[in-house]
This record gives sequence, C-alpha cells and structure tokens, in this order.
Amino acid sequence: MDKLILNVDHLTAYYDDLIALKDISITVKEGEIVAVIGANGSGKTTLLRSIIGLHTQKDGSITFNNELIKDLPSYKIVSMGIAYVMSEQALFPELTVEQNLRVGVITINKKEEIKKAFENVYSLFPILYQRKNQIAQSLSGGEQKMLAIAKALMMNPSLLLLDEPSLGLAPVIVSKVMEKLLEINKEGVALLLVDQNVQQALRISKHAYVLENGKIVKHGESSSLINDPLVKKAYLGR
Amino acid sequence: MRDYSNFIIISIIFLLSLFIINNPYFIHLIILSGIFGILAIYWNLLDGYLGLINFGYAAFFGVGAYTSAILSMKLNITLPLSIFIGGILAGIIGILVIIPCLRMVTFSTAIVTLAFGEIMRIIASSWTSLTKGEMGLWGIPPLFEGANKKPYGLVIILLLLLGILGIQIILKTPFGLAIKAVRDDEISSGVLGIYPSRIKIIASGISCFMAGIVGGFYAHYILTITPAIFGIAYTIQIMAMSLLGGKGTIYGPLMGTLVLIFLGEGTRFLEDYRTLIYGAIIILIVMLFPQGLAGIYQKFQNIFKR
Amino acid sequence: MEVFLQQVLNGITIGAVYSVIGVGFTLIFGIMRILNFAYGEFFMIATYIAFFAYKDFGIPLIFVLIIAMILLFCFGAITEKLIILPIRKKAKDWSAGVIMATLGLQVVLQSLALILGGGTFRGIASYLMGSLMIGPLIISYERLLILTISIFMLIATLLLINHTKLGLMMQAVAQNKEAAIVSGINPNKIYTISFGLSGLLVAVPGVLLMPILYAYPTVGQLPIMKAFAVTLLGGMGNIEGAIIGGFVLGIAEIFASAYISTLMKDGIAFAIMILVLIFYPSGLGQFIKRYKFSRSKI
Ligand SMILES: Nc1ncnc2c1ncn2[C@@H]1O[C@H](COP(=O)(O)OP(=O)(O)O)[C@@H](O)[C@H]1O
Ligand SMILES: [Mg+2]
Repeated sequence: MDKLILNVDHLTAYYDDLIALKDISITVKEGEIVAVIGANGSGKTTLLRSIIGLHTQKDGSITFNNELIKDLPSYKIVSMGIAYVMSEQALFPELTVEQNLRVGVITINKKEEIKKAFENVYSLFPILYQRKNQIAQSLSGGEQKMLAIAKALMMNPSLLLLDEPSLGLAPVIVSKVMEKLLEINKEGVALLLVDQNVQQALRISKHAYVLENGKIVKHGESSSLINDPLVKKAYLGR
Repeated sequence: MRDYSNFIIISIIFLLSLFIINNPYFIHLIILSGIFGILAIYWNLLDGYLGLINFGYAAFFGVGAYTSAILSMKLNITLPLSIFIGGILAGIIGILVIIPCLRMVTFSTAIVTLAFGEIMRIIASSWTSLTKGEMGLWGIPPLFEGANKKPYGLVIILLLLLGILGIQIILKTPFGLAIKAVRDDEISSGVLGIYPSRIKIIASGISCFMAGIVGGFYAHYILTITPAIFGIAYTIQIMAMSLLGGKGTIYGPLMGTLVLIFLGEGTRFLEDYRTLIYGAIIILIVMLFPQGLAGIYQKFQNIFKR
Repeated sequence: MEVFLQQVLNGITIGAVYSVIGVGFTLIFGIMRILNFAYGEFFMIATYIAFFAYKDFGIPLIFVLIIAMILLFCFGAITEKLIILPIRKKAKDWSAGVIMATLGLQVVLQSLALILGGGTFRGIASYLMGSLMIGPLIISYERLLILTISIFMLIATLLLINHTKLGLMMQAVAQNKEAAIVSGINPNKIYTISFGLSGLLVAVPGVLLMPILYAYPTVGQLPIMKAFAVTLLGGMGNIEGAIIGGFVLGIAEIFASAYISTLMKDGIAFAIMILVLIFYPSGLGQFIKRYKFSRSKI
C-alpha cells in the first residue's frame, strides 16, 4: 500500500500577476489521508483546483498514477479517478438528491456499475436515501455536505480531494462528516483534504503540510505536527 | 492642456478641410462623419462607459428627425427650435425607456431597447395621418437655403466638437467620476453614496438627447425621411463604428466612424455588401479585438515605449 | 360563445407555435446565459430550405421538416463553435460581446440572403387542403398539423430535458458549470448541442408556416420579436415559463385583433409583456416551483 498515486512537483500557480502558490511539492500515497492546513487565503483552494485542472495558470508538474495530468482538461482528469468536493456550491441546487448522484455517474455507461455505486453510497449515507426525491437546496447544511461527498464517491475515485469539508458546519456535524471520511478511507480511497479546522484535519490524517502565503512551511506526520509548538501557536490557539 | 491636444488637432483638421476643399461630395462625407461621429460617441457613452446596451439607439435619432420635421412642416415652428424640441423629446423618451431597464440584466435591457425601436418603427409606418406611413416625409424645410453644403458642414462639425468637449468635461466633473465608479464597480459605488441608477438615467437622457438633435439636423439636411430610420440597420452602423474604434474611449468611436465612412465610400462598388460588411466587422471585432482600433493603437504605443 | 371558442382554438394554435419559438430561444439562455439575436435568421434559413426543398425539389413535407431540422441543428452548432466559443474563451464577461456578435450575425445573414436570393417573397399557398369540423368549431388540416407537430415538439423537448442523460447534463451545466465539469461533463459539448437544438426547434415553425410567412431576407424579424416576448413573459431561461408564455401571447393576440384592432396586434403583445414585467419581474415562470436551469434575475 505504498504506491505513490498523486505527485505534485514544484507547482507554482498564478492569478495573472499574483503568485498564489510558490514551488509546492506534495505527494499522496495509495489509500492514505493527507491534510493541507493553512489560514484563509493561504492557497489551499488554488492547490486543489490546480490538481483537478480547474485552475490553468500554473507551472510545474502534476502526475496521477505516473501520468502527467497537469495540462489535461478537468473533465478528463476526473475520469481517471480523481474526484473533487468543492467547499461550497458543489451541488446542482434545483436537482433532486438522486439526480445529483446520477450526474456523478454520468460518465459511466454500465448499468451494473451504476447500481453498485448507488447501493454503496446509500448504505454509507442512509439519510440521502430517505431524502432522495428532495431538491438539493432544500437539504440542511450537513446533508448538503454529505451529498457533495456522496456525489464525488459515485465516480468510484481512487483519490478524493476535499476542500474544507468542515466549513460552515456545527461542531457535532463536523465530527460526523469526519467519521464518514474515515469510513470512506477504509474502503481504500485516498483523501487529500485541505482545511482551516486544523485539529480535525490533523486528527484524521496521516501526513500533513502547512501552507502559508502559498508556500509550504512545514510537513510531516500529523501526529507530530499536532504537537509542534509553531502549529499549536498559529493554528490551534494554544 | 495636454488632455486637449487631441481635441485641438481634430478641430483644426475638420475645420481646415471644410474651408479648403470645395468638392460637394467630400463635404457630404464630412457631414455624414459629423452625424455618425456624434451618434457613435454618445452610443458609446452608454455602452462603453456604463455597460448599458441600447439597441434602440437609432429610434431616438428617428424621434428627433420625425419630431422636428413634423413640427416645422405642420406647425411652422422655426427651425433650430424644432430641432431642439426633438432632442428634448428624444431625451425624455430615453429616460422613460431606461427606467424599467434599471432592474434588469444586460440581456433584458438589450431586448427591451430593441423592441422599443421596433415599436417606434411600427408607429411611424402605421400612423399615416401624421407620418405618411411607409412613404415617409418629404419636402422637409432645409436648415439652410441654397446649394452650398458648407454651412451644414460647419454646424455639424461645431456640434461634433461641442459634443466631444462636452464628454471630456463631463468625465472630469464629479458626475463623470461617478460614471467611472459605476462602471468599475456598481455595487461598491453604491456604498460611496453614488446612485448608479441616477447616473444611468442622466447619462441615458444626455445620450438620447444628442441622438435626437443629430436626427433633427439629419432630417433638415437630407430632407426626406422614412420609418427605416428607426430600424436596426442604423443602430448596427452606429455600433460598428463605435466598436471598431474602441469602446470606452472618446476618440475611438470617432476614428471608427471616419474609417467606415471614408473607406465605405471609397468602396462604393460594394454598396450591396455594406450592411454585410458592418455586421462582419462587429463580429470580427468582438471576436478578435474587443478593444478596437484604440486597443491596437495602445499596443503599438506599448511596443515603442519598451 | 361559438365565436369565442373558435378564437380560443385559433389562439391555442398560434400559441403552440410561439411556444416552440420561445422554447428554442430561451433554452440557450437557460443553459449558456446567452441571447442569440440571430435566432430570427435561423428561422429565415429554415423558410428558404423549406421553399426550395418543397417547391423546387418536390420533397414530401415530412422529409422537408426533417431535413430542415437536421440542417438547422448543424447551423446552430457551427455558429456556436465558430463565433460564440471564441468569444467565451477570450473574455470573462462575455454577455455583451455575444449579444453584439449575434446581432452582427443577424445582419450578415440577412444581407447574404438578400444578395443571394434577392428581395422576392418565396412561398406557397398551402400544403394541405380542407378543414376539420368539430361541432361548431372549424380548423383547417394545415393548422391542425401545425398544432399537432408543435405540441409534439414541446413534449419531446420536455422529455429530453427531464428524462434523458443529455437533458440531465444540460441541467447540470446550467445550474453549476464547475460542478458539472468535475463530474466529467465537457460543457463546451453541451453548449454546442444546445445551440444546435435551438436551431432544430425554430426550424419546425420555419417549415410549417410556409404558407403564412414566406421566405424573405427579413422574415426573421417577426419570430424573434415573439421569442423576446415569450421569453420575457415566461422568465428568462425558463422552459415551462416559455411554454405558458407562448400560449398566453397567442390567445391574447387573437382576442386583441378580434376585439380591438388588427393593427394593434403586435402592440398588444408588447403591452402584455411590459405589464407582466412590471407586476411579475421574473415572468410568469415564477409560478413554476422548480427551475430546470438556474434561476436568474430578468
Ligand atoms: N479568482 C481569483 N483571482 C485573483 N486572486 C485570487 C482568486 N482566487 C484566489 N485568489 C488569491 O489567491 C490566494 C489564495 O487563495 P485561495 O486558494 O482561495 O486560498 P484559501 O483556499 O486557502 O483560502 C489569495 O491571496 C486569494 O486572494
Ligand atoms: Mg478556500
């Protein structure tokens, strides 16, 4: 289980003149949970958008399973087995829960696979099955987050990118979401998770990177970072 | 003073050529340039500076033309006064049309203004007792007696120069600064105590007033007008000139007008293709050079500066 | 009473045509946030295809209809690829640019038609004789055919959007483009297809109205005005709204010309449009619970 699946090498990303990420290198191994923590505006979203191909102003190299994906369009990258859960507006607001999930398997043609994906997701999130005919925007914040994650899982990805899964959720719900993420990971899906909720992110991840103003200032085992005095002071407020 | 150097150069060129050249056809072209120059510049005041699309712009030109023609023919109102009344009426209608558009997005504004032009055209062609319908009005009293076109040239050039100076000055006043603020950021301009809708209403009034004045001048120069004057073809022509020159600039639309009028006349054998060419120019400019001639000029300047 | 029912029937027939025209126009807005000002010229092209195929080549009407639908689908798709796509790629805010470019395309197509075909009206008196009596009501077979095919097209469009994979992709792209992309959908493909569908839809009235609206360079002015009215009535980008709007407009026009004046018919259309906009700024479509495409201000 040590195979490298995602390799971000010397990535620099721009918004015209502004440099949002400077020379970043990150790796994710098969079945692993990796966290990137950093304050608001440090470049976390830009990193994920660069990997998935939504952000195109970038230099460096990004490979997935040893294939160069840096310049591929997003909709192709997705079909290779990376799924992306945006921090907000990840859903189709006027579609039902079931339709949202159906969009998740839009690229899959085999009926069998689709059926399995639905079964898998509904067993992981029974609440979504109860609400399957409800319109996405009528769900609660926590349910919407679950649906966004479920929709991404429908594609049967080997790597899941998560942008601030705890954003805007009550602490109880955050813990629930994190439990679900751990469950998903147990099925063998690698997670790359960025979050401002440093405590939760470090709790569930194995490795972590600390992003500051677009640069990686620290990385290592999550269990050691959680005790790092700098991290403690800057992000955990202790 | 440097701000006005362009203005002085243009004034000299226009006035000199008007005095030196006696060829009536050339003078006619200068007059057309004056007419369409003003229209292009003031259409651009809305589109280029405020992002307000007015697809019915020719209709305001038409309102000015028909109003002044009818007033002078039926009520014997003296000439410059009837033109002025036409301008005022066009300005008022312009304000009335823009008010419902303020709550709408670009798309609906485009539809409403286009539909307005179409409605005006329908009215002009069906209210026969007043407008003689499709036949149009003819025998409109001329602004100046005699065959010499130079007085027309002088009037429209002065109007054009006044129009340019007017915009340059407007843009320097607090009102002009407000226009720029609205263009740059409509939402936060509201926070600064600027009311975007008020700015848009005033600017529309000014822009349509100018179209009406020029329309009146046109009627008393050409002496026959038909309902086609309200139609989309004229708006297209004005847009082509404005976009070719470069939106959001003062001199761009004037340059676009000169290029299209003189180039267009130089290629008279293409007469049947004129509208086709105007349409194609709009498509190509939008696709390839959204900043128009002014943008190309700017690029050249940047190259030389380096 | 009979006169009244007859007028309702006539209004429904015209309304069905307006609905088809409106749906084709509003569809693109719903999905792409674009207005196609050359839409009337798509109609114009269909009228020419219809005339030449039916009159000169003697092809049966149903095949003429299919040919026109296919050709207009291709024409729409090519327009999107050749003109709209480059503008979308170039600028972030492309709404104004696209509006102007399609307006430019409108006059280009009109003048091309004039140059190539001259200013003659090309049309036929009728393609189907006789009429059907239903009690006191009378409807010509021609109108009956127009009504039937129009309603068929409306139902087909609704089925396509609501019950097919393509329809789901169209809704997804319309509601949240980035989420659609990261679900593996190529939005450019959807845009091209949508533009094609818009052309396909407007080809239907373009062919079927052959005896009423003759092929002529500016014949597109009327349908695009109706498309505007229907679209604003129904709420921009709202398919069901456009269907309702089309029938409302058709019936209102018939009654306006019967009880007020024929000349005011077009004026009435715009008067209704403006009244609705004042009282229901987002159109009649706001009474529809769920929008297929994203909600928008008018
Ligand atoms: N669309 C954009 N245009 C310009 N700058 C942007 C844009 N999006 C983000 N940025 C800038 O890039 C930097 C990183 O932003 P982001 O990746 O969103 O950070 P985070 O997700 O960590 O909050 C910030 O300085 C932000 O201002
Ligand atoms: Mg972020």
